[in-house]
Amino acid sequence: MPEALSTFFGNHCIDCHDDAEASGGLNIQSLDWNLDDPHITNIWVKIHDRIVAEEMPPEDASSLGEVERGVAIEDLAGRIQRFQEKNYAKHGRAVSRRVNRFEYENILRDLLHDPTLKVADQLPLDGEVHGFAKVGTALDVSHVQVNAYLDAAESALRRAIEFPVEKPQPQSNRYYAREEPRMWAGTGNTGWARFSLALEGLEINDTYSFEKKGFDPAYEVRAEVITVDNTSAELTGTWRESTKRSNHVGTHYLADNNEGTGTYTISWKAELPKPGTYEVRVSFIGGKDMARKAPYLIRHAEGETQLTIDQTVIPTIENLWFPIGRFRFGSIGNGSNSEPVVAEISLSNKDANGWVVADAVQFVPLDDSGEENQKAQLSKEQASTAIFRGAYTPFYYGFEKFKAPIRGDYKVRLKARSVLRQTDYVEWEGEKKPRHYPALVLDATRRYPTPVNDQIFSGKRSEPVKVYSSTLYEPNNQSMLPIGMFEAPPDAPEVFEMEAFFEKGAMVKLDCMRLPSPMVPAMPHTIQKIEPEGYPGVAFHWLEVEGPFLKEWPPASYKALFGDVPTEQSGRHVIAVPTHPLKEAGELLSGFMTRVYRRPVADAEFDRFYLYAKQLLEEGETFTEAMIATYSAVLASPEFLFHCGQPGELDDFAIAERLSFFLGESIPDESLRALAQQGKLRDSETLRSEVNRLLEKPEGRRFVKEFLDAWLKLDEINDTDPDRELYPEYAGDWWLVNSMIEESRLYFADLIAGDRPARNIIDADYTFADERLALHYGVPGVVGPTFRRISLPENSPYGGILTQASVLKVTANGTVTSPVLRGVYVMERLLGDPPSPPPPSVPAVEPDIRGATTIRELLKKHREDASCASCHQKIDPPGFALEGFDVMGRWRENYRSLGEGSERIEGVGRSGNEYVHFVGNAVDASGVTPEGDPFEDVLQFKKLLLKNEEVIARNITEQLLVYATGAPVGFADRDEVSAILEKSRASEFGMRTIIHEIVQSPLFLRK
Amino acid sequence: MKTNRRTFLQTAGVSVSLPLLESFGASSVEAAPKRMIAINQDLGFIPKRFFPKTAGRDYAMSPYLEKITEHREQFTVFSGLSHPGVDGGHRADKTFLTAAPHPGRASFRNSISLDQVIANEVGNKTRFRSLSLGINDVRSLSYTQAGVEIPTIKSAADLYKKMFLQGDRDAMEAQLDRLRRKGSILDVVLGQSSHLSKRVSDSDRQRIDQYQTAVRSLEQRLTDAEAWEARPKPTVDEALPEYPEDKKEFFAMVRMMNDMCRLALQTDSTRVITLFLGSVRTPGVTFDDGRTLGGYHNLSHHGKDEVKLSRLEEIENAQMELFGEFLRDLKSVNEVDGNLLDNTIVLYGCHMGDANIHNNSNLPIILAGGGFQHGQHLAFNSQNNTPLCNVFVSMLQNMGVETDRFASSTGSLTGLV
Repeated sequence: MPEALSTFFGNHCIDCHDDAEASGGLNIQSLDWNLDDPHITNIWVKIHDRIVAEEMPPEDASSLGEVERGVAIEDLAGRIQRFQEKNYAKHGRAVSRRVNRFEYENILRDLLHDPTLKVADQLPLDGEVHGFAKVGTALDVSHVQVNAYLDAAESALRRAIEFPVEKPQPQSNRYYAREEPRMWAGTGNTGWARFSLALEGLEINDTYSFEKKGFDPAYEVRAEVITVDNTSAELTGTWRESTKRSNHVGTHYLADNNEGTGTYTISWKAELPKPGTYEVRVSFIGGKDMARKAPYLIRHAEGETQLTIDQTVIPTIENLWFPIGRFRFGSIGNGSNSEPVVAEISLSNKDANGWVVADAVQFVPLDDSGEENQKAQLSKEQASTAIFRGAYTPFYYGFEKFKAPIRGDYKVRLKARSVLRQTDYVEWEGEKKPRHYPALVLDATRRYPTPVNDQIFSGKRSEPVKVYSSTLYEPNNQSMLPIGMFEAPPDAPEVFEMEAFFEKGAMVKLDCMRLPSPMVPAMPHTIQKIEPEGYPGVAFHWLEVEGPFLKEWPPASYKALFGDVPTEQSGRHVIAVPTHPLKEAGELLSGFMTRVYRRPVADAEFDRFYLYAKQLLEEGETFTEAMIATYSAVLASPEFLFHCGQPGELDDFAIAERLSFFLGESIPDESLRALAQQGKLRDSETLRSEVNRLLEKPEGRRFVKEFLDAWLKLDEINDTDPDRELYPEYAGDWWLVNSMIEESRLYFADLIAGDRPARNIIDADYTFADERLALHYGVPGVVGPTFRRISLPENSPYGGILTQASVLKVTANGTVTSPVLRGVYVMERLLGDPPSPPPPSVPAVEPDIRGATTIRELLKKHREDASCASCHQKIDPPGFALEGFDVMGRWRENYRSLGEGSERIEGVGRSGNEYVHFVGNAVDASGVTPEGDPFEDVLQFKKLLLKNEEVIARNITEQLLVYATGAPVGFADRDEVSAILEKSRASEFGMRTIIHEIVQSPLFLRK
Repeated sequence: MKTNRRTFLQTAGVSVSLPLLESFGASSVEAAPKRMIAINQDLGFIPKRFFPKTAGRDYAMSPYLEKITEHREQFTVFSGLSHPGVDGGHRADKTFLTAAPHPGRASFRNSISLDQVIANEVGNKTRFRSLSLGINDVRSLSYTQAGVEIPTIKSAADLYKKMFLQGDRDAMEAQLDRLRRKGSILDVVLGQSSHLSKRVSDSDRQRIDQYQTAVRSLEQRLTDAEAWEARPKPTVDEALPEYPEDKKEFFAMVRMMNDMCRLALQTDSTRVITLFLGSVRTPGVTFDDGRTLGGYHNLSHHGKDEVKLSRLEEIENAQMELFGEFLRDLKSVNEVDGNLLDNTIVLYGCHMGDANIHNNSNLPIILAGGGFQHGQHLAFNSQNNTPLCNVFVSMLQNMGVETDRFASSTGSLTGLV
């Protein structure tokens, strides 16, 4: 160690920071002056910073004067700076690095025009520095990697020749729900199947019928009875809703004012499936005070008929329906089915003589002999299967007959509507199991709700449905790819179209997002408790898939490897048959290498691979195999795998490489390569416009995803699930978790697109949300699953990345939150001031969810002990401020516990999980910042943080710098970072400006 | 948990045929080889139910150890062990067998794992230098010299196929062709890397050199694999297991993997195995009677709640029972001298002492078999732990590796003979 420094430390620091005491875990006496070791350098830098901040030495322990402090700091800083600068000059800031797993995968996807190729999981996990797999020192190579590269490249290349010689023509196929085995019963026991599905037109409310007839597609469907409930009718007058008597249709019936004035009218309109004779039935409860002369009017094919009905009679069919006559609707002999057949029934209360009840009307088709047409074939078009649950393994209902024949673009259409299913109650005596539902379980009241599968009506609201493609029968996170979303409307079904890219063998999977996904060990009846008014579902009529729409043939992936070489079929794939193998091998290879190597290909390097190909051909290998082997070799070669460069100014090719791996996670595209060729990339305007172009490309989304996954650790979002006793409302709520991630990505992408200030990382008055997330955040009035920008109310604690649900979830486990975990995360990720790890002798805090003590009380020790306090005075404030949010990031006033509390809460959770928990202690989210400013809650805390925007801007700049340059930000880089900040100040540290200034800075343009 | 053995396993009627080991000059009188298997039970055990209260030969069994009491004389239980400098809670799973410090730090580099040191010594004697296995998790216990993770085989069915399914002559030719093809590709890229190495700056050269080492190492392995490809694989009575897809069938998966490990050792397909029983990513655990408890990770954060604790205990009891079954299976295989357990060092433990608080000290560790003198509780200082690597040194020496250090060891383990 240099003499001057040694003296300084000896005088002012060693007393506490020596071998014996090592105060705060720091032993300066034995600390090497070894700036080659990054870890040791970090310690020296920390020492420097604490002395600069006058945190050390502590005032009461030493008499360090200002001048002496200044001299020492300059000396220390100067030495570290000069050492690093010398290193940079010799080696560059960034050591050469290989591509990481995701970059490798993206490169192959781009190269082979194969957007759904998956090879990353075949490669071992990458090492990370500061959470980013972009720094060379952590990206090691072992035989494991090399072997994996060979296997991955080969499998990716072979995909490119897996197609028939003849271009497949697009076809359109419709798959009717009525004919889908998977839409009858699914897997699992029939109790669950009966809960999950209802098949239109079948009276299958009992086990036997469901099992036997439900499985039998040949079973003829009961003719479609059209029912129109009062909820779909047109009214005049202030009808009263009633549920006093139970023999009504739907959720309620209507009653007038018993004045017979004629001011109350109701009109039911229906669209009948085809012309013919129907029996009209009406429901009206019945009873002694009802209207004796209720005037009905029927409009039919032959005109109008008026009828006066005595509503004191109890309806004759099942106490529910009263037939009032048979009428013809639609013109007979019409032939074509295209004209809709409209029927209308109306009722008024004029001179009715008693209470007029209006409920529902029904049209029952009759066959030619005038008999109720029990056996009429319901058209496949009209029949549907309704699904009453969200998707969750193993209960995926869907159209399994479709499997994509070949990889490519398709159009997907679905016809669907939302419905509501009635629940009924079943009671029984004694221990014997109920006759119709033996699979279900008794509850304490001995009455339990059960689905009534032939009482299905129009839904009350539209239901969002998310459509996925999946290559696995039992899909998981890895295999599902969202295709689109739509909202199935109530009343009449609609057809929704979306575009999809399918892998070969892909299937369509449906998720009725809002509906609960009952999870074992929940029983069907517990789910019914959730929706006492009726159970929402989505009825699917059919799935239609048209395609494949193949833009070019042979496909682009083949052309990328074999250009225009003609093909011949060989089993399930093609082979390339060139006329001049050697010559064409050379041409193809040259194009390939130029594309994947990021610099001009040296002759020697071209020869190396060309001679290999030649050797293979001479040994008798086929052209296709020889090329695949040669390409595999190129893709495993160090010139492909590594970013290299000489220390100093980067040349155009290296800049293009760095830029495309920063903002596109892949090799430069054609446009960028051309600019590099032309030597234009050292021009600041060109750089600026390229950055803009890359950010706006669809591949720019990769940057947002990978950067956030690493920076905010969002790739860990599914590591824990919320505890089902404490947080029953979140069980099986994948919609919420997916929406959280989507919000973070959209928000961050918008920060860049709109050049928004860095302070929006901490707080903002807007965010991006869909219905589910808005509900989570307590923002009313957001309907539907599409994401949109929303304003946040003034007193909302949300807004800003700091309080996004995704961040709050990854910093908690499923049971408890931890102020220390959250506090450290905020300091590390958002403020750029990572705290030192805890001293090894300190035992970890043991969380106690039995209710008596809060985590805050358990952490008191840290604030009382001086050596703990030095770090905890910084860690605790953000940690405490964020205690206002639960494990899923929702605002809470109280903790929840399993042991004791002020109130006992029990019920049924989102997945039918019965739970008991207690309202625990009130949350105390107050604290004091290290500067001494107190705050009551996170809103006040955010305001305090925002007093120093530069800290926030500096942190995000440094995070982006590590990501972009593949090197940690060193002590010697600080001046440059400050320069970047200065240039961004005018835009209030705009995020796009920061990115631009990073790309323009020497930190980026030098190795 | 009652034992519900799947019918594919017939311990009684196992007949295993091994290829003649002519080229290695082994005679039938030669002693059985030494093997090693290291198992990490991801979420560990509730400390006060695992650790015995007394130490030495006459220690009283703890509630969990009761489950394997029939094997008392064949295992040693330790307390007061850990890896110095290893912290980071869950992050320490990747340093369980490497002891590289501070796995949670931003600049962490891992180092070679115990099993790879052993594999470097004995690996070339078997078809597979070593096997890295994992359940329900992508992470591995095995790391190369360069600190790169060796990916695990995640399905007992896949492992079975690798070990025992023999293709026909054509398939074998095809596989040999593949291996040779890979070898020829490596020659090409090796040439380029030598060339590149001269062009780059000093610090970059290290990276390129590491790549070169990797390529050469792979070349050697491919050559070995070619030699093995020509030899017939062992045949076994057991059928291909139906490995569950549902992550909650955790216990079934553990059983199947344990069985595959036994078969692998028994057929001398390998002498070095690591097995990671990943429970952090196991959503829930299904018992034989159909009940599912879970999520497992959630329960490990019991927060002292009685209900959670009792559920966690049920799961952990089951884990111990499965371990006991495994030891029993190893014992039931007779070898020339003793049984398979006598000739296999079994390390079983966790990188966390108490998952509820995520600490990495006072780790639960059991060592079984391998010919050590067992039947004790070796208790070390709970405030000032002894390095776990000392046990590793003892294991290495037992395997015939001439060394007296490994990572953070201070010697071999006192009291372990």
